[in-house]
Amino acid sequence: MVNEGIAQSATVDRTKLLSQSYANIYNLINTRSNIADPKGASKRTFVYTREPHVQGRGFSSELFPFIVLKKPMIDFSEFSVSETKSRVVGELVCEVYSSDEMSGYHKNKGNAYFNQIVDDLFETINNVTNKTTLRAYAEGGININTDDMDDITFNNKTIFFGRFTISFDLRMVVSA
Amino acid sequence: MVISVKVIGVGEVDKFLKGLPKKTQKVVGKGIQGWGKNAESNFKLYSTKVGGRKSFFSGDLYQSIKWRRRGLSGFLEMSEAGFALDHMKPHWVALKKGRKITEWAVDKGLAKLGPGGKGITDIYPVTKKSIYVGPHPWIEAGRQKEFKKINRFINRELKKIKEI
Repeated sequence: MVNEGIAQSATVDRTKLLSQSYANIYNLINTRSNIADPKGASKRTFVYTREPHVQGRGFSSELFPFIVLKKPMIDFSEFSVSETKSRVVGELVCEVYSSDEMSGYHKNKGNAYFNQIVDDLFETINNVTNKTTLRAYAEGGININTDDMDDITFNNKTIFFGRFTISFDLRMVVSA
Repeated sequence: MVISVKVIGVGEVDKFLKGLPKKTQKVVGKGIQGWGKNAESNFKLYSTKVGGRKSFFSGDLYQSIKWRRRGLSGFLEMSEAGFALDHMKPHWVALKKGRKITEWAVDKGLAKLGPGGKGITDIYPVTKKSIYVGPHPWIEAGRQKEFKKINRFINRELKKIKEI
């Protein structure tokens, strides 16, 4: 599914450091052959760029499970003598949410769906081909770490959530 | 309205961290910032469990929770409503027309709407136009849960140094 405002995957350069580095990782995660939607639906939004509005009553069973990919935090360090090149480290927070409160066939499969998405996420980020592709887009050193994994109860409904930091580390031209 | 907030303890933590060797300061500081951001997200989720929330990723309390950096450490900031929910003395609240608590009490079946949209409870021996509310100690529970995770974030930063 095409998300408005997200560019096609391309090389990251100094003029679109935030948008393109984000788009490359978003497109990687939003590819169903990489991370499958456990519900198998093709039309619903599965990867969000922000937290969706989840209503408590009539708890939208259509919404779960889903992924939220937040904007990267980018740090510059180790500038070259001419100050045109720098080490660029970016960290994106990726959150996975699932719930047992899904209707019909999907009911009580929240935990299984959560595990499936996280397995796919780890596999996608650690995949050598994906790493090579991202390196070709000047977004090397991609890595994933788990920040947190837990469940909470909201209006008597269990929600499983996991928070991961996807990082990239590269050296690039940051000034003309 | 101007509200003054006194943050206690951050200075002492920062002083302690600044006494550490330079490289250790950097690692521990980065670990604490990572942990703080994670705690912010988790406290936002914990806040959805209190206050009779209708929606998951929204609300004034949810939006107000922020991790603020102060030197090498920092603190978690939230609206007064969050502390009130945690610390308040049990008290009666009138179920006036238009109040969120009236809406909540009616929704939960604890009250019914009377004339003019005012809530009337009938769960007590005597019918009342108010409801007795108590604290929801959610901050301490969340704090205990979050403090166990701090080592993990500092260890991760240490590993990064080993890799270099």
